[in-house]
Amino acid sequence: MEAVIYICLGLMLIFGILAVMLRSLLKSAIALAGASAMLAIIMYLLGSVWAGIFELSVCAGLITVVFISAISLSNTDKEDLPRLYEDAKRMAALPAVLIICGVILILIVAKTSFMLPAAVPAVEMADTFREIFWNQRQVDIWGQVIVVLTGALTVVALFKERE
Amino acid sequence: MLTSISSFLGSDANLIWFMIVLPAVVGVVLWLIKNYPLRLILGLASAAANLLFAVSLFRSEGFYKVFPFAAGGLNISFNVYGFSSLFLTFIAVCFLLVILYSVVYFKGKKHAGLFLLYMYISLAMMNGAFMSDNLGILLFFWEGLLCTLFGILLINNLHHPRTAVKALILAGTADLLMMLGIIITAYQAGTLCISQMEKLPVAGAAAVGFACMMLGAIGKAGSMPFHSWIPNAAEDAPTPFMVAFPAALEKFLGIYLAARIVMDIYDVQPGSGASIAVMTIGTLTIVLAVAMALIQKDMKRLLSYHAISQVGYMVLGIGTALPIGIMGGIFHMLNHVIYKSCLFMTAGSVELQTGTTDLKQFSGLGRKMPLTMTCFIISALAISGVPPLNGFFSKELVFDAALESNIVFYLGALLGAFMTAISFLKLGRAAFGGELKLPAGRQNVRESGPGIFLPMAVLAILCVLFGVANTLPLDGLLGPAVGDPHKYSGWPHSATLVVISVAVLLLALVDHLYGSRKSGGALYAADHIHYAPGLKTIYDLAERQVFDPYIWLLQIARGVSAVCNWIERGIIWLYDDAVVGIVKGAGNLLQRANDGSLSRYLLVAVSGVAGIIALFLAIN
Amino acid sequence: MQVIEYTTLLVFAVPLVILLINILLPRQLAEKSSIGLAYLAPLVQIVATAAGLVQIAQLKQHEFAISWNLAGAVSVRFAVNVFSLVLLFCIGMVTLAAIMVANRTVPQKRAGFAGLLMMLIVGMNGMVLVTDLFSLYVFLEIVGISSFVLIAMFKSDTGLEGAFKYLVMSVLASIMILTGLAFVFMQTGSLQYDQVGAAGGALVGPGAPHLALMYTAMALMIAGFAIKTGAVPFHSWLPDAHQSANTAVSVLLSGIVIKIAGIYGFIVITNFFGRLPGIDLTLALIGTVSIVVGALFALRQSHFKRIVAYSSVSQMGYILLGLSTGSVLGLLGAVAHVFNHATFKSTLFTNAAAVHEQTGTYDINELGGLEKKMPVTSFSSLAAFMSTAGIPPFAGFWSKLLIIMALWNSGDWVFAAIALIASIFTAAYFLRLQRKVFFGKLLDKFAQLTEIGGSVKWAQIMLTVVTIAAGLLFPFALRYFGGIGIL
Repeated sequence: MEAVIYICLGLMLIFGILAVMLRSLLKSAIALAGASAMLAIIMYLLGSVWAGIFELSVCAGLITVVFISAISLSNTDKEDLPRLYEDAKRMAALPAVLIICGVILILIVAKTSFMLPAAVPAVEMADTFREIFWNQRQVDIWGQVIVVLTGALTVVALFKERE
Repeated sequence: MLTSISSFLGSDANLIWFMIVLPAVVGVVLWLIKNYPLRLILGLASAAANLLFAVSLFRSEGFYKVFPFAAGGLNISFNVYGFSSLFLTFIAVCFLLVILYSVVYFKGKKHAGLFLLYMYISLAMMNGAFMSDNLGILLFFWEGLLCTLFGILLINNLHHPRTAVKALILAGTADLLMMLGIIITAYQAGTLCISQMEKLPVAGAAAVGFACMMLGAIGKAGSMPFHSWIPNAAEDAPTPFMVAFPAALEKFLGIYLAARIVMDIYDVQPGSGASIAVMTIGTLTIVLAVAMALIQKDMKRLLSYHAISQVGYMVLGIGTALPIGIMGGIFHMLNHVIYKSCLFMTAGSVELQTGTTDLKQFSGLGRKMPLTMTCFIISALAISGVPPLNGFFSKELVFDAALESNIVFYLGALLGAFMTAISFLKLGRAAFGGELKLPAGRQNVRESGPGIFLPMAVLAILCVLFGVANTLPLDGLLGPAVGDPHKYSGWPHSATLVVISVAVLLLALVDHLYGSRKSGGALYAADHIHYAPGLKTIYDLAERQVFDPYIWLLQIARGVSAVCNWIERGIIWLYDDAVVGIVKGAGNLLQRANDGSLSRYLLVAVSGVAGIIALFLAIN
Repeated sequence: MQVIEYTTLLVFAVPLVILLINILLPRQLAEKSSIGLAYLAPLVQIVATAAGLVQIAQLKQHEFAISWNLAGAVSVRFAVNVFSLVLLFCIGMVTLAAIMVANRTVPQKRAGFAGLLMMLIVGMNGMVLVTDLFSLYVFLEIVGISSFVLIAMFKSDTGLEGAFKYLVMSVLASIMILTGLAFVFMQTGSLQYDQVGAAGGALVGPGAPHLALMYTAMALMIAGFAIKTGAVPFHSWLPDAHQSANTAVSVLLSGIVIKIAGIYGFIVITNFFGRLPGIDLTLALIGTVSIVVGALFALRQSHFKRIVAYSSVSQMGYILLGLSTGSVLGLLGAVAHVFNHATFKSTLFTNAAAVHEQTGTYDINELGGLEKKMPVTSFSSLAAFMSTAGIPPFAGFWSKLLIIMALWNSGDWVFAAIALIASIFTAAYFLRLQRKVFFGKLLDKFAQLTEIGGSVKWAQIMLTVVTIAAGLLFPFALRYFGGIGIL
């Protein structure tokens, strides 16, 4: 089980790097979807089913659809980003940096016995999802509502061409 | 009548009003009056009134008045007792004569009123100084005299105030020293009132206090090292000033305070270090000043150097700390006032008639001005110490005391007497003897008027009187005032001393005759000493002001100013250049980390996070 | 009770209502009236919080829910206490000033601007009102998104670049905060303030692995909030964002956003776990370095807004120093400085707007002698500068004094000394600004200059009055707070 999680983590990492570095916007969006999907799998494997479901449906699904439609509606050149954003030296250095950071992290984890504590007071999932959602985390509902509103306003403010 | 006046003065604050404020007011009035007869009358009347007050105070049994004035022990306390009221009387007599002389002298000249104003304010200050018992108030009056001194020296010299500035700085330094001395003394004694002080031992901090106060007192009197303005004043100031200040008034003040220091404030033992120090200063003053006097060719300058020299005798006498010495010193002061004022008055008389006091321009005045010459001869004999005039007796007392202390001091004093005699022989024969020579345009020389002659005559008579009948001053006035019951009057008891003194005088006569024969004339009688090998170089340096303490002070001041300027430039550099440069440099350095590149920003941020984690790990 | 409930409700609801109205109005009408309508939100907020401050004297904290009552005890509610009310008041004041400036400086897209501003207000209010770490994070995100868009929405070249930098660094901050949250959640099983605080005390002590986790969590959260605050070395986005944004947005950013998003977060997380020495030292170090570095940078700038932005960095350092002492005095000084900084920084940015509107430039080397033509601007700038430098009787003096006193009391006299000496730098760079822009000889090209009119002038006047009044009334305010038992 641990091995699968680590593999998914690695894939997620690769998808993420691809999302940032690919030249085509479309391919970037698809790589992002892939990263989200990997994250959803990890969440499911770690035991939070609901989180995994939401992640998969919203991020890997809905968001990707929105991205792709936005990209196809825009007028940018989908294939080749301007050359001036490229930096050969940094591209070559990227793998090395990643490996070094990974090694450092592993060393830290190993040296400081950075273990997930076993005797964690587990939260009793006695309450149903509904109970938690509506009552215990009422504040977050308001938060979500406002976030969505903000997002909508953002889109309008940034992208509305006509006055 | 005297008792009623004294009791009137003693009640309320009348002391202040009539002894201090009244002279000042009279001075202002005299300044505004331009009319000569009116000025004469008012001047004489006010001086006579002051004399009357002083005599009444002297004859009373004295009182002690306190006027609360300020906090911190600074009360105006007056102690009118035998010693202080005696000096009040001396001043009053002297003042009367000086005022008569001055008003007549200034007839028809400019700035008469201003001179009289300063004189009267000085009188007010001096009255206050003599009467005050509180050292702080004494200091106030002392300093007031500094202002009037400066003011008088500025008369006629507004555009070239070199003497005034020099006098101000030298006298000011002496006064500062005295202030320091007063502060230390008051701190040691715990009080500012002299009458409440017990005699302090001269040791430790008190020694510094004693030294400062003594220096301040004798400096005021004109002793070395605060002397060098007096010869300058002889050239720049009007002659009545010379009559009044360096001859008389300053001596009174300085020696009064010096005597009080030795008698009341400090317990000076004969033979102690303090005593020897004071005597050394006195002896040095005697010898060095009279050596300078020897070579002068101007009458007033010569007399001023003698004034300095004679102070040495007084300081020497007081410095011995023996009763005979103190008495001798004070008596010498009194005599000096009498004969030196007379001498300056004769110089002024000559000046009025010939227009100058430069000995190279006239000679042989004896035929034309016989009365002046007579007064001069009497005073010159007195200052040389010829018996039976008053100078002889006071000098003998001082010699006695000096010999008891140490033979070196005695020899120094004797040398001074020798040179005094030489210089007066020279002066007298050069000015009044020989053939008649007058400066151009002054052919009509005659004797001075009664206004000039009268004060001179009175003083000359006093010279004789105080010598022949010296019981009056010594046992009648000074003895009770000082509180010394021993009788010093009469012929000096040590015949050896008398013989030695007379021998010295005869030696001086011989030397003078030899010198005048050798150098061609009375005026050059001292030239063989002047141009003697070794002495010639010292005289040259002295003439070039190398030994002038005032010049030393100026050099020091210039040096300090240069150092301060250097420090100031350093501080300005620090603030204007250094700090600004550092800050700008730091800012420039930091700007390289904030140049707009996002990756650099992120790098800095991530390293910040790492830093925080490292810090946390380090602490735990 | 009633007043408090209305207060908090209004604070939450009014901006949303205005937003709705904004959306529903036809476009032409919206463009014209949206800014005017937007005035209502901060005005209501100011009045409501003032009323609430009066009422809160009787109770220390008031918890409430919105729209429906919550049953369970573990439910997360909103809560408000005295400090929250003070911060809400600040939010209202700065937003008011920003709208007054925006009236002049935002020519197009006014409806969009107003709408996003409402979102920003709700986000900030929410941050101050919640009692749960995760909710804090959510509202933090709201604040981040809306401020990012506000910077970028006018699509100038520099605007987009500044916004992008802000976005990237903000994302880094969010990641770190979230990770820290996660670690805390792992240890304590809950994210509510009181439960975390209660459990925190037990966590400091036994068990090395636990402790390492907690420290990592603290470090990450501190770093995250430090980025949001603009403290050195995480400050790099701040000048670029401020310079390139519309001045009204700069007023908002510097005046309130960096404080609510950053400083309030610090206040929250430093109240857990007792006083760990590591936290105090870290805060003090970050604070001191911010003060000095911010000041050194500000001395070299020649763009009006950049100088003021770096000054913000420097002043955040003071607030962090106040927090690092861990005493009530320090906290009081920090919050007082938040209030004062809101005032004088808004004033300064408003002045920048005024100067730019009238002269067309921000470059101080091209300006000079403006005080003859623009007296109101000049005076308010002078008042703000003196308040920043900590000169009595302006308000900044009191808060600085409190912070330095708190530092001294807790024994950090080295930091106190550095803070004091750095005041010289503060005075230096502002004096430079003042001298170059306002004093000196009036340049010929400005002969026809006039004072800025309308809402910008009133904003300056209002803020200056608040600065001076706060300075004069501060002792009474302290006494009032002491009376109700806060001190």
